[in-house]
Amino acid sequence: MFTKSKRVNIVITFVLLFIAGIPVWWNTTTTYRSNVDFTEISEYYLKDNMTQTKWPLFKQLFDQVGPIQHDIEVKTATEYSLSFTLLNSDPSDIVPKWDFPYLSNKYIQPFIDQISDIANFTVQSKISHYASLLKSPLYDSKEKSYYIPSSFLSEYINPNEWQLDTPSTNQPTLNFIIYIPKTTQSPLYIRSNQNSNSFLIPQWGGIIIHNVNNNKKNNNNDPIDLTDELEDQMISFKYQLKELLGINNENNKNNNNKEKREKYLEKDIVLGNDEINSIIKRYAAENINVSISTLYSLSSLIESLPNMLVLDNIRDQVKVATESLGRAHQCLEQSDYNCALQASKQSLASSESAFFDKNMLSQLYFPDEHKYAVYTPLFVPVCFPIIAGIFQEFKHYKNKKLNK
Amino acid sequence: MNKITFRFYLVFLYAILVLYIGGIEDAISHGGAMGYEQPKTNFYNGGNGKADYNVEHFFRGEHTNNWALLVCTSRFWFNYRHIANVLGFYRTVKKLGIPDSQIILMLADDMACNPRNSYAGSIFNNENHKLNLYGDNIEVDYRGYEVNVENFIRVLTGRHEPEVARSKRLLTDDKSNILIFLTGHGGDEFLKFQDNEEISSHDLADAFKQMWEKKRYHEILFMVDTCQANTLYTRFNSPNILAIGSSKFGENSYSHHSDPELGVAVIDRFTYYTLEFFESVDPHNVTLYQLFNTYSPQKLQSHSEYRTDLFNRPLDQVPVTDFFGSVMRADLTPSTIINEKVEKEEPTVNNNDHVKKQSPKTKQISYKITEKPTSIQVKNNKNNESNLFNSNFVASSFIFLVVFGLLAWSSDFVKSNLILNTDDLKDAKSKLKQH
Repeated sequence: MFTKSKRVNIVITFVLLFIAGIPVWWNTTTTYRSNVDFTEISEYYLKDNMTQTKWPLFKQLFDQVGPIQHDIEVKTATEYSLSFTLLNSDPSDIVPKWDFPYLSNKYIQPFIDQISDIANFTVQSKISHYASLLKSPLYDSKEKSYYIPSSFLSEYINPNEWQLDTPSTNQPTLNFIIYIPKTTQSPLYIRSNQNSNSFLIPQWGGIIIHNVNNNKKNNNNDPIDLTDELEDQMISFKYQLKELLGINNENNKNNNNKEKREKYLEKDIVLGNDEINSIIKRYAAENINVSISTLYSLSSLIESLPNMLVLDNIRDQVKVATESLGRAHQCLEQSDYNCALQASKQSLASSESAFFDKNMLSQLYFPDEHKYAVYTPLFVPVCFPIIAGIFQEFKHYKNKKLNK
Repeated sequence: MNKITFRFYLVFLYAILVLYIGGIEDAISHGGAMGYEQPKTNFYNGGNGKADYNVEHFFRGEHTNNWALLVCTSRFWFNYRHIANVLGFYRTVKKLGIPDSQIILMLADDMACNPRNSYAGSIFNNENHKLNLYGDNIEVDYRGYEVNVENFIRVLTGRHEPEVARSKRLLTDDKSNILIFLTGHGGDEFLKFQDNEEISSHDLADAFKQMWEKKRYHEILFMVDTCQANTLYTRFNSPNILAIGSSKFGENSYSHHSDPELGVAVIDRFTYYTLEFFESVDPHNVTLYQLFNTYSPQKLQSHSEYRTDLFNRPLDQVPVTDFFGSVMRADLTPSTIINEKVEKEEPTVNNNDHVKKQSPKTKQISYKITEKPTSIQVKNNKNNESNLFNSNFVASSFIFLVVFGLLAWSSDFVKSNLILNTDDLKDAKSKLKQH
C-alpha cells in the first residue's frame, strides 16, 4: 500500500481541496444581488414627528392638486399615441376619405403644442372599412331614423371588435373613432337627454357617430371627401382628449354636478393658461407619486424575495430616479413647476424601467429540504473515506507518539 | 465470532442503516407537507333562484377592463382534453366580449395538426363534434415550447425583454380584472409545465405579490383544473384574489368523456360543467355564487373548493361578467352639432355611468339568498417549514450525524482490526517465520 508520507499527503490534499472548494461553490451558487440604495426613499416614508420628513414640498404639491382620480382619466405616462380612425361600415354605400393632415394641423396640433410639456404625443390616422355594430339599432318610425338608447350603448358597440390596435407601439394609445353607419341604418342617433352623438370610453378613447350628408352621396363609387363635415367633430375630439387627459377647468373640478356641464360646445377649444398650469401640476404630482411608490415597492420586493437576481443596472436606475426626485424637489422650492415636471418625467421613466427590468426574475422556489436532497448524495459518499482516512492518520500519529 | 460473520454482520448493518436513513427523510418530508389541515366542506347544489333584474347592471364591480390569461400546460396527443379545456374557455370569454388584444392564450398547440388527429385542423370538446374550437379566429400568443414557467412568470410580472410584442404582454393596471385559468397535470402544490418543469404554489404566490405591489390588477379569479388543484392556491396572500380548484389534496380530477373516433378524452369534468353553465344561463344575469354552486362532488367526482378569504365582495354580488366578459362603459360627451330633433326623455334609468352608486327608483330589490356560500378558510400555514432550524431539520441532522459517525468509526475499526494491511501481513509472516 502507500507509504505513510504518501497517505498523509493524500489526506491533506483532499482536506485542502474541500477548504478551497467550499467558498468557490458558495460564490457561484448565490444569486447576485447588487447593493441598491433606497435610503432616501425609506426616509421619505419614515413617519417621524420629531424630525422633518424628507422632501416636504411633495406632500404640499399633492394636497394642492387634490386626489387624482382615474375614473375617466388615463394614467400619466411620458408618451402617448393618439390614433384617429375613420371607420366606415359598408364601403358599397360610401367610400369616405378625409384630409387628415389639414384637420390635424388646424385642430389637434395646436392643442398638443399647448400641452407638449407633459408628454410626447404621436398622432396617427387611418381609414378602415367593414366595421359593424353588435346589434341592429332600433327604428323610430316617427322620426324615420335609427337610434341607440344611451344606457345600452355597450350592447351595440364594442370597439374591441373593430381590431384597431396597433401592435407596433408599446406606448399608451388613445383611440378616436368616427363611425359612419351604413345606409340601411342611417341616420343613426344616440338617444339620451343630452342630444349628442359622441361618447367617450374611459381610459380608452372616444367614438363619434357621424351621419353623412345625403347630398354628398353619389351613385358612382368615388371616394367622398368629408373633411368639412368633420371639422366640427374634431372639436368634439378635442373635448374628449381634454377629458381623457384630465385637463379640467378649475371651476368644473369642484363642481361634480353633471347637469351643469355644457350641452353644446363652443366653436373651438383653446386651453387657457390656468388650465395648462393645473395640468402641469397634476402631471408632476402624479409622476412623482407613482415613481416614489414604485421605488418603495421595488425596495420591499427586493427585501422580501431573497432569491431574486438584482443586477447593477437596477442600482444605477434607482440612483437616477432618486436624483431626479431630488431635482424635482429643488424645482418646487423655487416654484418652477415646469422644471419639476421634466424631472418627474425622468424619474418616472427610470423607476418604471427599474421595476420592470427583464432580469429581475426570482429563482423558483427551492426550499432547503430540496437543497439537502440534491447535495447529500454528492458529498456524503465522497466525505466518507476522507474522514475515515483523517481518523486513521490521526490514530497512527498518536500511536507513533506513544511508541516514541 | 470469527471475521467472516463479523463482516457479513457489518454489511447487513450498513444496508439497514441506509434504508433507515432513507425512511427518516421520507417520513419527515411528508410530515412537513401535511402540516396544514383541510377542513371538510360540503358542496351542495343550491337552487339558483332566477332574479328578475339584470345582475350585471346592479352589481358591476369597479374595474374598467377585463383580461384573461388562459394556459394549457400539457403537450402530446393524449393530453388532448387540456387543449380543449382552454379553447373552450377562450371561446366563452371571447363570446362575452373580451377582445383578443386582452386575452393571452398559451397553448402547446400540437393537437390540430397532429398526425394522429383524424379530424385534421379541428379540435372538439365533445364527442358529437358539433363545435370546432380551432376555428379560423383564434389567436395563440405563446405556442409550443414558449409555454414554460419563465414566460408564464414574465407575463404575470410584466418583466419582458424589450423586444417582446405588445400582444404577448399583460398590460393591466389597477382597474383590471383578470381571469386566470390553468389546466394540465398537477400535484401537491405544483403544476407541471410540458413534462419538463414545474411551477410551485410559492412561485405563484410570489408572482401575485409582485403584481399587487405594482398595482397590476384590481381583482383576480384564479381557476385551476388539474389533479389536486386546490393545493395550488394555498399560499396566496395578496388581496382581491378569488381562487377555485377542481379537486382537493389527494384527489384526481377526471375527464368527462372520451371520443371513440379520436381515441382520447376530449374534455375534463370541471371545465365541462363550467361551459355547460355558460351555455344554459344568460351570462349577463348570473353571479359567481351560482356558478360555483353548480359544481358538486357527484358531477365532478372530486371535491372542488374555493377560497374567498382574500376577496372582499360576497360572491352572490359578483356577476360572472366581472371576470368572464367585458362590458364597456360609455359616457356621453357634448357635440357641436345642434340637432333639431325633439329631445326624448329616458323613461327608466338615466345614464348607466354611476349606476352602482344609485339604485333606480322604479325597481324594488329583493333577492333572498337560500344558502350560505361555503369556502375553506385556509389558515396561515405554520412558517416553520421554511425556517431552517425547525424541529424536523434538527432531528434529522442529529440522527444523520450519529449514523455517519458510527459508519466512519466502523470503517476505521474494520480496517484496523479485520482487514489486514499488507504491512501487517508481512510483519505477521515475518514473525511467523521468525518463530
